Amino acid sequence: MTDANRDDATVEEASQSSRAGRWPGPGLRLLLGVAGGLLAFSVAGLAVAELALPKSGRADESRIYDYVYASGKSENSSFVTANMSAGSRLCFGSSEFYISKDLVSMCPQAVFGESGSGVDMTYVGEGYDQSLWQAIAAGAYARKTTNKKVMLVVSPQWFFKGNGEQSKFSSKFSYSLYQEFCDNPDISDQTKAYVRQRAQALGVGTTELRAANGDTPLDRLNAVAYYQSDQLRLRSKLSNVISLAPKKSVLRASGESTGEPDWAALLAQADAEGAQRCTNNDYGVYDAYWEKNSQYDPEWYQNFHEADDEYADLACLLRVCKEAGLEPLVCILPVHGSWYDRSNVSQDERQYYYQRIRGICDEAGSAYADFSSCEYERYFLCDTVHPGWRGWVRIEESFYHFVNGTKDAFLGGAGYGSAEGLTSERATQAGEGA
Amino acid sequence: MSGKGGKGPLARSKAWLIDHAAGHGTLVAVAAGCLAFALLAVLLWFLVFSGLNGPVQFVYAGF
Repeated sequence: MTDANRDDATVEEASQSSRAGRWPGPGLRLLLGVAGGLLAFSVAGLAVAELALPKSGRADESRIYDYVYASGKSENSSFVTANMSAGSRLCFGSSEFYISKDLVSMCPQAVFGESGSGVDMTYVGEGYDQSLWQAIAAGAYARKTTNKKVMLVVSPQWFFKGNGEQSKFSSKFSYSLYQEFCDNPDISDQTKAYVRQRAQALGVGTTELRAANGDTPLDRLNAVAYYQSDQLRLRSKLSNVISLAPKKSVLRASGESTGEPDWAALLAQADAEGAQRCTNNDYGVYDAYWEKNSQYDPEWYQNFHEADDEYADLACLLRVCKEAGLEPLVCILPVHGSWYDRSNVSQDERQYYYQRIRGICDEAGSAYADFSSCEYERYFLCDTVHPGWRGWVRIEESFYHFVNGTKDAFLGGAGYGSAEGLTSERATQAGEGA
Repeated sequence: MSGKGGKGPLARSKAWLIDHAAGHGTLVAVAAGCLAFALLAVLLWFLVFSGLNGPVQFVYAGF
């Protein structure tokens, strides 16, 4: 080898050595850094999800979860159905579930939840959830519950002109429930198409709807991301839900059967408590509410005949129940008679609403608990909208009879005939036999 | 504002960063990784935990 050749070889080796020393280059190193960050984030995320967040399965069994009203509960069907009491039935509704023992001591949490009557109501839904939300929820929950009798609490204000508070649907939309609704094979394509079209019309994003319906392989991939992130969000709220669940009463924990509650005694108690809570107005509205809201009148000149979309959504909800194998009892809440008189909502308007709801139930072959005859029953409502002392007792009684397949003055439709209502001899009166 | 000739504080910082980045490739990669982690954490917090894009809440007191 000549000197010149030796020099060339040395230069080549130095060059290779230099290239090897710079590997990976700055660009690749940057890429590896970012990839490392993503990987670390994924690992940390999974670790936090597994170790720090409660799971959606069985929770502390010394508590009762059916009556908890809290954000993130109703959307988590796995948690709700895993923690339902044995004799409980799903009750789909909205803000009436907010009314608790503090205000109405004969609310379902007390009458059913603290006794051994063998019947419970598992609340699903929050304020502003209307028929379409309930339809999605019913489809999502149907396959996860063995008790197929359910109650749907329908509020008159859903059917105010302009379809109540439908504009809030997009913010109340639950991806998890919608995904589970779409995954329920018992629901027909026609019903799914209706719900999808309505959800889109009410502002839910096309990407989410496409994902849940699995339109393309990419949408199915999106669905995994949407569902898992939503489940993570729901799990992050479970600590609060669990902390709000009351401990089982001694009676409840003993498992002793107490039989049917004494409705007459409860009504007498309702009258006494109502009178004690309502002292500053003639409407049977509790004092604190009246002080704050006596000038607030969203019912002023309302009507019930400009809400065709909501009526159609209610029909869809009953269709979902039928297809999914649920047997619904539609609870028809009354309006507040004297308050609506003051608000200039005519009796014709009110009767139109009741009749239309009953018609939708009859068309679907669904039973209903019709409390329209209680418009003027003092203490049926505790404010101008929500069931109160007498109202909850009457709802509980009808629900109890529906679950046990017995007759009741307020039950109608689906083999019950027409609801006789308050004037019926069968309607429980306060203090009867007490 | 940086003046002509890169004498302003921003221009000086930029030059300093570029000089150091050229000589500390590994450090830059680690910083990029940390930044990616932090951005994803903020995104996850906003989308999942913050409640800032959550549903409208029913407030009974103001009903």
